[in-house]
Amino acid sequence: MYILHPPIFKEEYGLSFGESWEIFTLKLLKIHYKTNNIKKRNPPESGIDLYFPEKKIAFQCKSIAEENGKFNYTKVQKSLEDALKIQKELGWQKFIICTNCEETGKHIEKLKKIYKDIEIYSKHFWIYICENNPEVIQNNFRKIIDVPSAYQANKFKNISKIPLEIKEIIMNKHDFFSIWLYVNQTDDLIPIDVCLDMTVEHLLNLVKGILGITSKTFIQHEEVLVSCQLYYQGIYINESDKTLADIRIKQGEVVSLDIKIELPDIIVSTLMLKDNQNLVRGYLMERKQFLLNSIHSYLKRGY
Amino acid sequence: MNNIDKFKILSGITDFSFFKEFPNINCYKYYKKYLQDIDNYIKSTSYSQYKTRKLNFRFINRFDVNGIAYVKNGEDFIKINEGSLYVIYGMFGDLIINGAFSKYTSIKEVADSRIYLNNEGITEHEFNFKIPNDYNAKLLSEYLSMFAVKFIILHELGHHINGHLLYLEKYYGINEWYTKQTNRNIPDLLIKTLEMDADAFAISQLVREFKEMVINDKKINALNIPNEVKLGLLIFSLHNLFILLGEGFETQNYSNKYMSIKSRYLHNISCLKTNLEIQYFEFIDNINFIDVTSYYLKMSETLYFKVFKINNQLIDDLEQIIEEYNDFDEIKNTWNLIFDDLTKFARVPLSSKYKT
Repeated sequence: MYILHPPIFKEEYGLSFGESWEIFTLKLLKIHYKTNNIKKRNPPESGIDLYFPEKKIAFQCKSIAEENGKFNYTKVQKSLEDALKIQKELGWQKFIICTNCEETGKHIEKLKKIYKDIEIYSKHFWIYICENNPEVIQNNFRKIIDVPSAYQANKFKNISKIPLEIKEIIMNKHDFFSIWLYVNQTDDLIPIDVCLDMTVEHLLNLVKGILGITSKTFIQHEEVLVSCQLYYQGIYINESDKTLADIRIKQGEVVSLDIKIELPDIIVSTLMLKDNQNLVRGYLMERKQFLLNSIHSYLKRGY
Repeated sequence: MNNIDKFKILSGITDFSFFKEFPNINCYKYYKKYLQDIDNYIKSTSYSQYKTRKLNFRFINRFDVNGIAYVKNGEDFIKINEGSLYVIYGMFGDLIINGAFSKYTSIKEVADSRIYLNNEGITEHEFNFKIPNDYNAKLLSEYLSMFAVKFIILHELGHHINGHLLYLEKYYGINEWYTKQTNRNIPDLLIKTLEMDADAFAISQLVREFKEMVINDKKINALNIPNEVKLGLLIFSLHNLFILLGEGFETQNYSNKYMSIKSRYLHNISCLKTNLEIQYFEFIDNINFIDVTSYYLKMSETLYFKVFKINNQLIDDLEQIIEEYNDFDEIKNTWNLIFDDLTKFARVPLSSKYKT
């Protein structure tokens, strides 16, 4: 399943979501029209972001970062009016809105009153192209590790560092909601069920329990210390007794996990059975594999 | 099946069974003693000035199949990932249940358990463990696992006994990998040569034990299996170990410092033949080695694919294997070049120089 919104949709490095969406639609339009001749326009775009001269199609990209965001008719109308001002100069004949939202028939009807040959390529259009070209778009999306709620509740039960009253909320499935845990080093997204009464420390313990992260591990041959830090809206959450209500985390928001491994000065002569070039990454991938295997087994066996 | 019955099935037969009495993992102490005994033997027979070096051995809580040998502060260290045991014993249990050596087994029931390894109150690893409720099947599965685990341990021991690490320390200095992200500039060819020698050390020792097993092991001999099948056990064990080691590696991702897993396997099979001819001629003289190897190689690949859905046909990587075989002359030259210096650090006589 492709979700055309952050954090699952990846923004291009250093660019806003709007700019990234424009680059993404350009890539998919080239696939759709089987051409390399659709060009991105430089500012001032005058309501036209991309132009396909051979077919005289003008494209306007309209994206909403929030998953539940609504199609903004007013902004689209403004772009169309701007585009009409340069229609003679550019020679465009068809106007297509490229949006990551769902549009309604009502919107198209209203826009057609302004200009007849108009179309909206909405969410399902893009998802269809993604589904048919997975190898082309795989780097535009973060991978989600699907952690079923039932698995999580089962895991929760066995984490001794989380108090019973918090366990009951999650296990009884009332007043809980789901947030995204973003694992920096592996670029993965994991859905996590939480409740507002949980503290940051509880959340951290839950995350460590899910990924099987202990405070010590072995990298190559030395025992090393592992620490985990959580970030919300780019800021390190260091007050572990604050609740999620205190820091105002809401449904669908992203908390980032940064796993730090303290590598001591090690001066030795070594040889390994099997090559393992990036040892820290090897550990992180092992933790990810642990979670995947554990979920797989839970789904198969029910425990 | 009730839990008591299940526990009985999961508990093993031999000294090297995974569980002797479920749920206590038994094989850790067996392998520790095994290594200690070899080390003591070498200490008592070697003339090397390094024979008194202390050897430290332990299993560490990492869960991929790997091992490491290193020297530090004048002592020798071997660390084997615990995962090597879980994966290997689990793998051979599965393969036996799914038809390996089925002529000698009669499996009617299987105990299937999920084992959770907890540390600091957190489950760090979970693995499935299946054991057949059949004496012969259990026994064969335990022997297959034992050969593979010993290969890993012996490979690491070979780096110490054959002087590799002291040689590297003297001529190439030490790793400062963690702090300075620098590695010793050890030539790729030298690493490959030493890895192959460590593999050869492991095979040579395994053949010695294989001979002992064929002649004196009452449990195996009670099964009344022909010598070809006994050899098949060793080949099947090694081949599946190497398929396992190759999992997750794509051919183009091999670092130049190591030979591809498949080339290493082929080298080891060739080594096995040579060692059998030298150490146990009366056994191998009556066996068509190529036929037996081909049969168990095919059986390994077919079963591994059936059980784990991973294809490992040697033919797939033939081009790379051929390319790597071209390096063998250079590896032989490297061996000849380092032989005299390496001998100074070795605690046992090394394989002789190649004839040029």
